[in-house]
Amino acid sequence: MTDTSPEINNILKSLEQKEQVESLAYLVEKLPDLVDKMKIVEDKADFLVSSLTDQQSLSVLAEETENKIKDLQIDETHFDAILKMTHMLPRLVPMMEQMDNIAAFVEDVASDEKTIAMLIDGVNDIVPIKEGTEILEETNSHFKANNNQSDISVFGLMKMLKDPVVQDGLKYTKSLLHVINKHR
Amino acid sequence: MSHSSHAKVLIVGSGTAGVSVAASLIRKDSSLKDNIMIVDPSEKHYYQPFFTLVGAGDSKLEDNVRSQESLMPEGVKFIKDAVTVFNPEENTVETKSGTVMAYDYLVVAAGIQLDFDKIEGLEETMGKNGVCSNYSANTVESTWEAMQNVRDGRAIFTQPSTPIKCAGAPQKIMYLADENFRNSGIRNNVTIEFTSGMPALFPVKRYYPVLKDLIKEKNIEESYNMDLIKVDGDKQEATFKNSESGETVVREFSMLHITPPMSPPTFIKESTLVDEAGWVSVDMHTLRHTKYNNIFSAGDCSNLPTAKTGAGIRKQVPVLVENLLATMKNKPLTGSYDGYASCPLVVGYDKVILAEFVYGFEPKETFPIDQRVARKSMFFMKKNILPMMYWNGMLKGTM
Repeated sequence: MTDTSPEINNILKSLEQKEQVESLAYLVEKLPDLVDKMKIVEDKADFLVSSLTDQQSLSVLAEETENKIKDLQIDETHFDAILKMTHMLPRLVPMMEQMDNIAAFVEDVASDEKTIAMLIDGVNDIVPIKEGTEILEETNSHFKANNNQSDISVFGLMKMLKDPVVQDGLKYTKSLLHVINKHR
Repeated sequence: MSHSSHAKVLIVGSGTAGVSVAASLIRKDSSLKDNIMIVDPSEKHYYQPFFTLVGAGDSKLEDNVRSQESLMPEGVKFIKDAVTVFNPEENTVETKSGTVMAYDYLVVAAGIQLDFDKIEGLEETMGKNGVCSNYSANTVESTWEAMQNVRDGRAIFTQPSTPIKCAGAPQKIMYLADENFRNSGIRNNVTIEFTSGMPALFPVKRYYPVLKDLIKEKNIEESYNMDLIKVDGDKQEATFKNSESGETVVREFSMLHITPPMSPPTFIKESTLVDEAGWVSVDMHTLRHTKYNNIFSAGDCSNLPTAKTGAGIRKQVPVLVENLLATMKNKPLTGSYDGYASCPLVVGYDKVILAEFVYGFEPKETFPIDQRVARKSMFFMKKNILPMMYWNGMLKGTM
């Protein structure tokens, strides 16, 4: 008794201080709240302990996991491959990034009406697709409108031969034959 | 009323560099989605490399513009406002509307300022009396108009002594005008003159002789160290000042294509982020600010000692993004910019010399052919491939 009384006295003395009294008052006020929170933690801990000691639940879980791994049919070769791949990753990742960028670029171009229109215009500057289509369409309509049954005469053929377009074509053919003969 | 906002990454400027940096950051680190803001007062975004072709009547302005909103990458917030003050010590900027925007990291990509007002009398006559300029969306269409109205006289093409964006552009439009005048049968009646504030035609030695020959072949007159200081539209007279002797010379003109003096945007010039010349002070290789570790800069407003071109930005952006992400993770900066810039010198309506170079104006060419030769293939690339690479690649952060 005599040993502990100075300590108790000290505690009682310190409890008389204002800060301690205020803290105690706060704790008492918050006590219901703290008890609720303690209960929640206790429940979770109980569930964990109960699950870990329930042999049946654990074996079902283990069996399920094992079956899933079995379905994957992973053997040593796969582990070797994973190891190799891990080593290759620093080289593969930049390439994959590039591929990803290219795919995103192509996707963006394909969905951009303005860019597509510009590209078609650009190609048309080099190969006059529009002009060619217009010529074909006009030729078709002209042919349909003037499709008489009369034969083309020799004089008609001679006249056609003098047409500058035919002349150019024939000259080109002549040059082509010349070049082919040279390489024979 | 002032209010505030916060972004992990704040980008000042929604031009080529600003949008590309934002898109690339998100592609490299998806956690930055909804954590990036871009602030810029403009509503429209122009593909400026095509201004040469618009001015020469080979492309339409409306085909080279998109709304800023439509270009914002997913997860980037666009604030239509103008930054007025930088507070790098507090990690904030202030805007014209009174907003204080806080950031963790700042990217300054605000472009370059066109100082048309530094030329006396220009404002009153721009777009009239044969006075035109390819350098602004507001004036570029006046070039084609002026070119078509020329019948005789003197067509003058200027370049100032200040740094400018795309240093080849002042001559490109001149070569196109030459071809246009030849096709119209009036070339013999028109004197073409290239009047530059610079000491030489082109700074890269590899391409200099080729361009000199071209100037000679096209019978174009040249004057150097001459800055345009005054324009009298009614009299069609231009006054130039020799930067060495201080002497002034007055020239009559029938067409005057102006490349205006340029400088860093005023709000940048007045900040503490800049070097003596007023450009944002960054390390020339890492693109990080020389004083503030959380600030980076790319594009025309930075003090990188190379040509200010879109092609340069294409190479700066991946470096900036790599180093900014490394800074976020407290890792060493490994990205390094070599000063690459490119200038597709349009020398006719179907020919381009593709100049490519790095720091020190040393050539660094991409293709295994002699790029000094004017080629149709390069023109095809300039006209058809590069715009697609820009809109669908660069601004999306994929190239």
